[in-house]
Amino acid sequence: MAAVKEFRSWPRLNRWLLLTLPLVAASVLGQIPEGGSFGSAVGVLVVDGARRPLAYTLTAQGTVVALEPIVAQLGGQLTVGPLQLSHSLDLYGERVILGPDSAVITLGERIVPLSRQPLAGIDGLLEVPLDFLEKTYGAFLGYDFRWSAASGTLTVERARRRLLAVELDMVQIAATTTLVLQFSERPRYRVAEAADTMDIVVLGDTLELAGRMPRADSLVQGVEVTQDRVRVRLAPGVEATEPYLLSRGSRTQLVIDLTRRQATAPRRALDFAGRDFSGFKIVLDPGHGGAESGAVGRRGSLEKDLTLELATALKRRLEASMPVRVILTRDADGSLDHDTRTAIANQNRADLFISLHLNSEPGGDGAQGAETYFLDQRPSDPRAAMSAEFENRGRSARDAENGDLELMLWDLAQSRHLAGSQRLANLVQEQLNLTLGLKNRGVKQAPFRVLIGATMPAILVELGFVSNDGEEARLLDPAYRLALVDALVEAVVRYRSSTADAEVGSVTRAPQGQRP
Amino acid sequence: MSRRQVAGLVVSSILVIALGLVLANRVFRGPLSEEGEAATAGGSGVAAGGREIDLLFPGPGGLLYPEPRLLAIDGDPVRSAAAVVEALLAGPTTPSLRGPFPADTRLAGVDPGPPGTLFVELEPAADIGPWAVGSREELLAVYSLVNTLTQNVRDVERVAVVWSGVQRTTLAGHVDTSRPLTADMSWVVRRSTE
Repeated sequence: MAAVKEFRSWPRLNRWLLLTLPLVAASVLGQIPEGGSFGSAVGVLVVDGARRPLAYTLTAQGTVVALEPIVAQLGGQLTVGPLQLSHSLDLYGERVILGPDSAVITLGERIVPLSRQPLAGIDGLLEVPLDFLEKTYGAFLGYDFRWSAASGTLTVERARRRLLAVELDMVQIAATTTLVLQFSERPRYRVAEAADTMDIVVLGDTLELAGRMPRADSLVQGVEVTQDRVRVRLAPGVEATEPYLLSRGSRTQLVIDLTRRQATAPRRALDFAGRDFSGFKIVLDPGHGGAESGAVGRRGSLEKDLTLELATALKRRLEASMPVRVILTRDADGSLDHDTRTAIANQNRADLFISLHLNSEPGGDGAQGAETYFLDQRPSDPRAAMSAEFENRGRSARDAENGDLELMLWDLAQSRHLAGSQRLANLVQEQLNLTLGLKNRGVKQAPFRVLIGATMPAILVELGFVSNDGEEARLLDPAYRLALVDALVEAVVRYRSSTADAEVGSVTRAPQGQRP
Repeated sequence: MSRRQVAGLVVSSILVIALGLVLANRVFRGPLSEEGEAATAGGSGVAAGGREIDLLFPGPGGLLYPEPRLLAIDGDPVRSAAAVVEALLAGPTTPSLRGPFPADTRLAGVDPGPPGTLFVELEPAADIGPWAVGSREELLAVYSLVNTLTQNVRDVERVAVVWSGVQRTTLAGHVDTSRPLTADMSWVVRRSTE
């Protein structure tokens, strides 16, 4: 009551300000769209005590800061891709790919989510969220970042050196050895691979062995722990999968699976003068079929029919546009399970797998446009899947073990190609947007069954919503479908050109052939 | 300014900021606010002594929207999960939102699996054959269930969907349901954008 009396005794203006300011502030904070920004400003970047200007933008999803001055101070090489749609940052052997429209980045072969997508800031310079810096410079090089919103200052310091205890455990099941490094705290590390060794190099910390060294087996000749690394000496012909981290309370496990390398035939050089079909292969998958119609439009159009028409046209158009062999998972209306579709791509050693679909949303006429997906592996924690499958099926322990191993290897198949899948997805989405002016629904990740197990870059393209009256009408128009097909052809040609540069030179498009 | 005035100012500021945030939170709920409050007051599944949670239903733009509901959520994850799934299957009270699964789908059972994993068995009203929907519709159905359960029921980290007694590879030809799924909140509308 005393406080109320005091309050009443204040001047009326003070009381009014006190009551309204928090409400105004809260309302303003809440009404700004998450993708929007409060505005840009120039702050300060402090590295080793030296102060430099740093452009930044406040958004409802956090602060984004200009990347270029940070790269100039901390090292690395930033390359801007065509149309400024993707950027590549080389960090002493680790390659980071990021773009202004994507809230995920590629770190080496890993896909890492960000708190928000980077922005094209002042003068077109890329501005990145603070967690981007932590996940790249912080994770690889041990930098600590502190942001002061009040002063607009980003202070960069080297993290203190920690003493990390590491326990080693190794188990061989069937043809795979799993090596588990259990750290007392989450490590910052990079992987350095040579012919017969694999080093897990910790960054900015000191390692200390806890427990005993594991015994060698037929795949691993030995493991050594020094202050800065764990070195795994591999038996000849053994290769390691990309290590992955599992958190167990305060402890973190780094898991590495080791298997014998599969013998592969030497790859023949591509002959662009002719049509060397032993070179580039694409498997196109018209979604659904048979009893599975897929989405149904209000005019009665069936997804399975439209995807077959689109895939058939795309095959013809691709083969007329570049030296390529295109295989359809189905060329008629018939049932085909998802794993068989993927297996067709794997058995044919395809270079790309593209699954074509049309979308629908529940009861609505609102959503329209194209979206492109690559695999989200989050749900496929192999060990979670293993235990769940075991419980669910009630199989014998031996069956479960064999099946689980297959499941784990199946899961790992696409993980090696996620970066390629993301690149292809970006190109396809970009081309659909450019060519057709479709509503950009963006590149997304989802646990689509047909993408799991593909041993090549694999995407699923949703070319429009048949649940939308207008879009369904357009999809029934052959000229519109042809435009969609041409956009996909252009994206594949661009993808092939970028990969062929690393092989024998860039692909040149063949003269325009007959149109489908 | 005296000490008493300073103390009064601090206490008043705290109260006013709290009031401001409460009001702002109601504003942020956007178009859902009115229907959501109605659901809380009179929607189905109201339980005395329960807890208000956000059920996630498919809605405009192909996203999941939260609808607050008072449900019998307690320390028993199986019982709580059953209440949540029943409420999801009963559908939203907000006109612009949709039920995630085909009409008349019923809950056949909820079973705990390995630690963190919950098996939810759904039974369609009749043999509807393959569910004829696009990927977005299937994604929203699956993550309506998975996200709502993992966000609201204690100890549930992963959800395995069993459909007519079978853990199928997919429900409608897209999303891998052959294994338990973890939450993906990227399908949920961000409140301040709506």
